[in-house]
Amino acid sequence: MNTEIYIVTGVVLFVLGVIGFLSRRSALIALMSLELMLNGTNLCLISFSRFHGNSEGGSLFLLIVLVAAAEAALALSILVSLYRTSGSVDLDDFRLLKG
Amino acid sequence: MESTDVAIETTQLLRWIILFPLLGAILNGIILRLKSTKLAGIVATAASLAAFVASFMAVTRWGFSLEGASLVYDQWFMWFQSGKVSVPFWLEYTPISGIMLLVVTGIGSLIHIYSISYMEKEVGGYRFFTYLNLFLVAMLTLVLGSNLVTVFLGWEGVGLCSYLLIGYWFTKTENAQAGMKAFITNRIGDLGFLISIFLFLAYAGTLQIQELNHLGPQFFSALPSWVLPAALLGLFWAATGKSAQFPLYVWLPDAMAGPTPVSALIHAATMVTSGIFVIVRVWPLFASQPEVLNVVFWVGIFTAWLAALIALTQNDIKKVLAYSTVSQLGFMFTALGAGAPEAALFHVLTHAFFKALLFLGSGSVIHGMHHEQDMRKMGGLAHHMKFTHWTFVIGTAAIIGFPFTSGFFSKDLILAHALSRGMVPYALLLTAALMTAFYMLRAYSMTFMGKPRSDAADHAHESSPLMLIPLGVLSIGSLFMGWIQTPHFMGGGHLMETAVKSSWGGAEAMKPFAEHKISVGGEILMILAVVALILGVAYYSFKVYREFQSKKFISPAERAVGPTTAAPFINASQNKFFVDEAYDLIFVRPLRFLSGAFFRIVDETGINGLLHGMRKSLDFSSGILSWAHTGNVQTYAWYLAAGAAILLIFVGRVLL
Amino acid sequence: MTALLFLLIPTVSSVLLLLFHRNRVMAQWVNLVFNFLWAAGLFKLWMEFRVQPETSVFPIWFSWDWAPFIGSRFSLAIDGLNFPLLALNVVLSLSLAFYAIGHEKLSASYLALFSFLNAASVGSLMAADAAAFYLFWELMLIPMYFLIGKWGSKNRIYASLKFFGFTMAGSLLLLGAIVYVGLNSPSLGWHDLKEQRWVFDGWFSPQALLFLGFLAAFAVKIPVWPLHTWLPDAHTEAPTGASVILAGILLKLGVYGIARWCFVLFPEASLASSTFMMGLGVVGVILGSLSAMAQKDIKRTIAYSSVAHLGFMVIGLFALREESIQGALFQNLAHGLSTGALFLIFGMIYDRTHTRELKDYGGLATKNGVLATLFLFSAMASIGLPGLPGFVGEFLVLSGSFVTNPWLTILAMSGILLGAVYMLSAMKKILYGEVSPTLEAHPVVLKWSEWMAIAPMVVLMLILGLMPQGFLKLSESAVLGMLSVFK
Repeated sequence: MNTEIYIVTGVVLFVLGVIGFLSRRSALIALMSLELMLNGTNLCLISFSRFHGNSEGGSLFLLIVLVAAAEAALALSILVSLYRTSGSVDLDDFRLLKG
Repeated sequence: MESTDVAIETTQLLRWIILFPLLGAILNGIILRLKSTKLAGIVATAASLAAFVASFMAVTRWGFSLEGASLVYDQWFMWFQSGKVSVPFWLEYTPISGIMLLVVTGIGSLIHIYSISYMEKEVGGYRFFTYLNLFLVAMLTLVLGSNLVTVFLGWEGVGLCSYLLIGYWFTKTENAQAGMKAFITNRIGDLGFLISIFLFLAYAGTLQIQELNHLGPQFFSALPSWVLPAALLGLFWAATGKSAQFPLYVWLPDAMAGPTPVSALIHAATMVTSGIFVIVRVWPLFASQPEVLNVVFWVGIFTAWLAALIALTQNDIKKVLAYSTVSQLGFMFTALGAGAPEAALFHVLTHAFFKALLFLGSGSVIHGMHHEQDMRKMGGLAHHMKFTHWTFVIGTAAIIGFPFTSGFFSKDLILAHALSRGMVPYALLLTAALMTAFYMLRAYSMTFMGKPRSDAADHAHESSPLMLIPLGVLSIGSLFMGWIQTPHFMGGGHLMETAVKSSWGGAEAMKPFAEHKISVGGEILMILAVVALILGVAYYSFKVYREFQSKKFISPAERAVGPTTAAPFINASQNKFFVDEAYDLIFVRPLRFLSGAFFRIVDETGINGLLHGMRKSLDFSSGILSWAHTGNVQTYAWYLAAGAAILLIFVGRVLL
Repeated sequence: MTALLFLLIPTVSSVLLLLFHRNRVMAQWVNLVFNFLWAAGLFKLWMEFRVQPETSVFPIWFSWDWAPFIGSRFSLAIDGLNFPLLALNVVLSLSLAFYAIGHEKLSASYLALFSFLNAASVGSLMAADAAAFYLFWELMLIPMYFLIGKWGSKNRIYASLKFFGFTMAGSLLLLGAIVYVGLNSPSLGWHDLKEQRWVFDGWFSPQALLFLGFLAAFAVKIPVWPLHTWLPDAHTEAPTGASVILAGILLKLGVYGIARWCFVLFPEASLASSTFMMGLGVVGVILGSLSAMAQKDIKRTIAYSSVAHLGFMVIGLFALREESIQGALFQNLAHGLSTGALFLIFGMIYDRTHTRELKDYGGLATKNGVLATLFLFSAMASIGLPGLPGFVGEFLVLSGSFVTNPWLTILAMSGILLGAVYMLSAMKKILYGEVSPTLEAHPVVLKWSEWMAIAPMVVLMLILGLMPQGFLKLSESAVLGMLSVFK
């Protein structure tokens, strides 16, 4: 089976995610881009797993889905509380990472 | 001592001479701390007398002439030893030490007795007596020390006690300042002592005085020619500090800030003569260096002259005596420089008696006048203080060299030796002697003659017997001490000469200068002339100053050359020729400036500036880098992406 | 085993003292008890030390194979070079334990840090292994940093940072050198390193660079001019106890380190740098003394006097003669006691008056004659009055260095004079004259414990000054052994 198409799709998804994360100012969209990147990676992992005929990629995929679910839940809740405290979800308004 | 021809006698007596006053100091200063100054004084006096008895025993045992080449050591303990440096704490008896022992403990005991009464009103006077006893300890160590380092221990020890006693009334800052000046000026001299010690150690390998004497000039002539003169000049430099010679004499007049018994004991009779004593101890080395002796000679004459000149116009009775001490010490150094250690030491001995007498007499006057020292406010005290007056007369007679008093013999001996070195030094020294007669009679007349010039003088009272007894004893000494060493034609004693010659552990001293023989008739004639001159000047001064009244009195200098011509000279003399001011300008101020400048330029600006500069440059560069830290998550993501891109390109280009 | 015990007593006490962090007074007494215990340990050490054969070179008392992978053993050794300093450390610590009794500011954590400092300093004194030595050497920094930074006076943060920065910079070079010698030698033990001969031809050869690496750490600690500017700040800001230990032990470790490590490991380089280092010593003596004269702060004056005195020790060490090195080592003890006593006595006065300005003082001798006498006594010991220990040290140093280099020695002798100038001026202002308003308002009346703190120092100074021979004999064979590497 030709897996190239899946890998290309995965890469395209990842690049779209990266572009989205870097360019969009809304935190919500940035999060969705993050998910997109994860899913691109996942697609690649499964394709490689298929390509090599072993299960390592598949198991890693399952792990990532799990972590992504948790991460999404955590990130969304942070987002909500962020919105509650500052009234904005615009990433440019936040410079909290600076010491 | 390795040399086999030297017989060594060991003893344990000598340490007791030091231990008694040490015990007294410990008792008074640490254990008893008596409220009553009188009791403290008695304890101290007992200690001093015990030391005197021990000294006396030592002197009766070994006398003033050691046979041939025998040495007497008290091998107490090893002080410290390392490598080439070996400093045993041994004490040594030599005939000249014997003389000094008697002077220090004898006159010391008298002054202790005197102090009991003089200091009786003092609160916490035990401190005073502790210092006095400590001084004896240090001075006796200086006298008995068998090597240069033990002598140096005593040397600096007496300096410390002098410092403590000058600043005894320390609530007045001037007194503390005077003590400090004494200590520091002496330290300037002490550097010379240390250099001399190091030179002897490096080149001769020993510091035992008698071993140095035994090595003698022959040994040193094999070394670089500058070694011995440098070492001896170092010692002499130290002596100019301790014995108040030009240029380091400036501390002694200020030292009069201390209680008067201290001035008598330390700054007249004992400590200030230690420079001469140390030079006599290593005389065989000095005798081989005529050039060094020339320096000593001229420094002595110059100091005798300068100090006498200053003494002419001083109005403080203790200042007159202080400058007269400096001047007399100049006489002693002149004798050394003329190659006559016995004359120098003889004058040390007689001077100890009459100067202690004069100081104690002035102390009695000051005591009677309720601590007034200005002679212009005295006058007429002869009636109120008869005993003090007569003892002062005896002291004055002795110091100016009145025939057959002690000063007559010693001073004429020095003058004779100065003559053998030429007419110019003789004339200079003679003028100094004449000035002595002048200022001493001036002081005497202003104090005791004429009418009282103040209430205090009018109501002055005679001192207590406890103070007068020492005056009496010292008067006897001042009168008769001279007979132990008389001119050759009188055929009397030669004690000094034999004592000095047998004090070098059997080493011989060469004659540094050719001796001019004068006929007995010439000598008598000369002495007569000198005596006549001195008595003439003395009488003139007496006549002028007994008229001293502050209003219509005209001083001799003004009479001679007129007030306007005399004024600058009188002013200069009264202000001590501005030597203190000059030193302040040349040394003290530049030093103070340098210390501030170095601290600010080197430490503050230089090193710390460099450090702070380094810190600031770090701050600056980190400031630049922190610009990239925006705190925005998307900026960081951009860095991440850029990094990943660079990595990808790198992997693609280089690795694949 | 005794050596380990001696090291463990302060270590254990530093941990135990923390238990009393709620009860300051209790902690102070416990600290005193531990110090007595430590003194007993010293006594036991002495009993064993005096029977050990004189010929043995830095004999190892305790050894534990703690890090075979880097060729290091945890070994403690004692000879005549370090034993006197161990004793000095115990004496000073005992004095300070007395001083601490009843002091409001000295809490359990302070005392614990102090014990820790003691452990580190005796550790680095006894260490016979480069890695162990380095460990203890660095451990000393930690308590000192906190002691100055927490219990110091106004400018303490600046001072502690400066202290840390300087020392760290020196230590890093030491670390580099130790790593290099470790890689090129069978082990890091002192005895093995001693056998190595590193190539020396010019100042870029291995031995020269290693020598400089070791020297850097020691020169900062001593401190050799121009690395000295941390000292006045640290001394001035540090609390009394830290000042005493700083002057009494920490600076001495620099001198000790040079004698123990630099000379023995790198003799050719030491010899080659001799004149230069003596020159730095002379500069330190003169500029230190001059700076001391310019100070208006009493602790700063004493601190700069330390710079000058330690300059003498550098001269003595690098004159490389038996008497001069003996003198430098003896001066170590003398200076530790006299400067320690000066800091301690002034600390007691400062506890009452809270000012270090010279102009605020005057007439102490009127108010408290005994204390004034002891103060003057310590000052006289510091300026090398014969009969007190400073003289013996300075005399031996200068008599040795006079042979090596007479001109530098004569220059250095100016320090003897300048010392008298600044010390006596300071004494004059503090002790004499009218009683100052500050002293009038704050009477300086000492408690029994404070007298107990000063007493041992004064007694020891007298003993050292009049009977130094025993102490010189103690270190004689060690010094001779050390000098044999130069032949």
